[in-house]
Amino acid sequence: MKLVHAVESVVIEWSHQIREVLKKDSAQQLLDGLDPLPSVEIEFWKSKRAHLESISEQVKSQDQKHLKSLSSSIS
Amino acid sequence: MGELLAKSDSSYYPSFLQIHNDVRYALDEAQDIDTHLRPLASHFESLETTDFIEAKHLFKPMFHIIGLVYDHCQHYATASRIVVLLQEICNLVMKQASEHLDPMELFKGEVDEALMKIDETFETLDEFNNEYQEIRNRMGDKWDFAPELVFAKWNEFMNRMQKIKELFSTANTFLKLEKVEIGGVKG
Repeated sequence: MKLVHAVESVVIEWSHQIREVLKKDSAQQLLDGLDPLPSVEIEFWKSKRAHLESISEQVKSQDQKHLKSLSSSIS
Repeated sequence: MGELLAKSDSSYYPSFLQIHNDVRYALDEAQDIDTHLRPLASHFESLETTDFIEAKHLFKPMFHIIGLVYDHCQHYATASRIVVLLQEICNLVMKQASEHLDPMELFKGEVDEALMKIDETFETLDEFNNEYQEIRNRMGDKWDFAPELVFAKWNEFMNRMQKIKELFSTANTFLKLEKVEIGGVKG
């Protein structure tokens, strides 16, 4: 049961961090009244792609690692 | 982890799945858009580095690619996305135009030279407008957003340009008048 709780709290923490990345909007600078150039748009998607690739990589690989360390720290 | 949450019937399982799906969707989207936008980078770069008078030849190929992006990039083919890009392109063209005009210098030099520079600038700006209209017509119903969404700032900019042009035209006319000598009734 403890393990489940630990996993749940990790999931919650992840969700928050991931939501931050997901909700980033390429129109942000325009909405802020700045005068962004088109290079901003290209850079935005480049970096969003890189972030998401790394997130999805981490979610996959850390899954097992995390679980192991969690279960060992609990028992 | 998902398995564990599922087996223990955790109330966080649905949100875990949700975030998984969201990440996958967002990743697909970002990859799709990033891949399609890349060819545009060099066009923007040359727009930034080319002399504004020469830049009028750059708009056609640039808009052509934008049309292709819109037709082929599923995630970019929405008004809200393309409007952002078009606004930013307008920003770039306006920035290049202002730099070319060099407003501080404009008032220091000769009036007719300034007027020539203004006309040159207008040529490129008009060319941009024409090329935009062309792609807009070609996209037809696919681009059904209101032009003001893209051109709010642009229109103000063009109004200011028009005023500057009028100012210098008037000044030019006055300077010509100055040279006219009235010879009286006898001529």
